[in-house]
Amino acid sequence: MTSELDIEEFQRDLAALVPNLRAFARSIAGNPDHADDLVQETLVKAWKNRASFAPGSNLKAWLFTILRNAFLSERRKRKYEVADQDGELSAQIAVKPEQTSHMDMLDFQQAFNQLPQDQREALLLIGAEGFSYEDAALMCGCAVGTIKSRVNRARNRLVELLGLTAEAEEMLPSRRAAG
Amino acid sequence: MTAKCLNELEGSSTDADSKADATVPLEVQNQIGKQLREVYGKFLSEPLPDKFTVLLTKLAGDQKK
Repeated sequence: MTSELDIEEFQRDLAALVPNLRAFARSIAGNPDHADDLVQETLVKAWKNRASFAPGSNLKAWLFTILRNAFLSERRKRKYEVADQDGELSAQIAVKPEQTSHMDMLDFQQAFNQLPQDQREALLLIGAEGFSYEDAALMCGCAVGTIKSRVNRARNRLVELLGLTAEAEEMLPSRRAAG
Repeated sequence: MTAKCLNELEGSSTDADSKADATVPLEVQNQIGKQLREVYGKFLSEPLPDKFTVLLTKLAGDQKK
């Protein structure tokens, strides 16, 4: 039923989104090898289930949902084996020493890693990938308000961890409350 | 109702729970967004290992058979 052209197009579309899948996987899973395994699993699942993808709808959102589900179901299984969780994963995501010239970035990444997984994910989907709150809510299987709340919590925590508020206020010359 | 809306607009509230939920100033949001995209962009631009292309070619090949 699927024509060869469709297959080639689907293959091309998937290939184009591999960098995004890897970046998302790295951000939620931490360990690069683990992230790549998740991406491969996602590609295989996407291929098997491509009949359930509605052409013209958001392929990236669909793929991210598959990846996210794979990650969560894996973590649920693993929970019974080791109590690993975010501690180990966060340690692994930390950038190598050669990156230290980018102090802000390193600090930011460390702070980001301290956020709970659901907040990291929400902030990424909205702030880095540019998904709408509605799409992010669909992908995470929760209410739009929940996503908004997670994003706000993530931002507030980052403000706290990075001490952003004071700096930001200095950067605002026309802030009336300050004058 | 009005008070709640105001709190939301100003991003300020008294109790701790709403504080965590409060909207941060736009300037700070932009700052966070910029740094977030920098880190994410670094992941995005990492060189792609061949294994993904190989896998996709294999999946497409299996289909054509």
